[in-house]
Amino acid sequence: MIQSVNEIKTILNNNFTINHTFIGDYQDFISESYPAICIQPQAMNKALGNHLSFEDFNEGDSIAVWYVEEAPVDRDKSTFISKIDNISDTLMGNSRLNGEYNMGIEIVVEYTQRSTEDNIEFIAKITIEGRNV
Amino acid sequence: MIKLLETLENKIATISVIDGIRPISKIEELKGFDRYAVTHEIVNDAVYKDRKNRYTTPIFLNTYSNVDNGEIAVLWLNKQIKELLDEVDLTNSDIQTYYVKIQTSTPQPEKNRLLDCWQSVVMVEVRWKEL
Repeated sequence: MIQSVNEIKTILNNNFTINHTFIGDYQDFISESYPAICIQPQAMNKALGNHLSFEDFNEGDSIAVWYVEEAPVDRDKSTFISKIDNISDTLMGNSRLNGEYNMGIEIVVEYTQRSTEDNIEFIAKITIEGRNV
Repeated sequence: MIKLLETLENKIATISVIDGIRPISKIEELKGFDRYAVTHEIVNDAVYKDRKNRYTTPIFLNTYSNVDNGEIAVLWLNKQIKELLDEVDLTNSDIQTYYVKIQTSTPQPEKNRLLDCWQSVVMVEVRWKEL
């Protein structure tokens, strides 16, 4: 799990401007500067045994990446949405992540609504799911 | 907390018409102020997101004016303060602010007998940490 987490961190920092990275729970996360990412492991599944066929691999590795940007005054989201498109494409097309750490990778993007209690931020939750190899 | 208040005082002082800014406990020092004045009053300092050394602090900014049409002038001062502080970044070498949010203000001014002027209130919430 820590290898996948570190790999995601490296990929995002190498390909995008990220000014603050935090590995931990999103509820503890505070953006010290923008753009910021919070990488939160969600689930892992391991089993002992001889897995001869592809189908026998255990699925269930799940890592959430929260990408947070400071919202502009007019709250227009268009550049943010295209940034998220780029990020999910980059993660999906990354051969190291696909080949070395996960198989059958699947990415779910959720544009979460800003809570009124929190700062004026745009938040996207990118969930990366796959099976560990 | 001292650093936050210093930063806030310095920021508000950039509105040049304001003659004095004092904590509410030293309001007496504002007696006889020239046209516009402000006092600040800390409500509490709750911990922000359960994280050490991070706070979310609501602050009352009491605004005063003793010009001829003071009840209107004090609302004008409220507007200046709101425009100055809403979503501003107060980060400097002493503190970092995550968010400065104007919460509410009283559009109905009241007469302040102590300072013989009109008074209104702007409530601002600051999320910050000391560096």
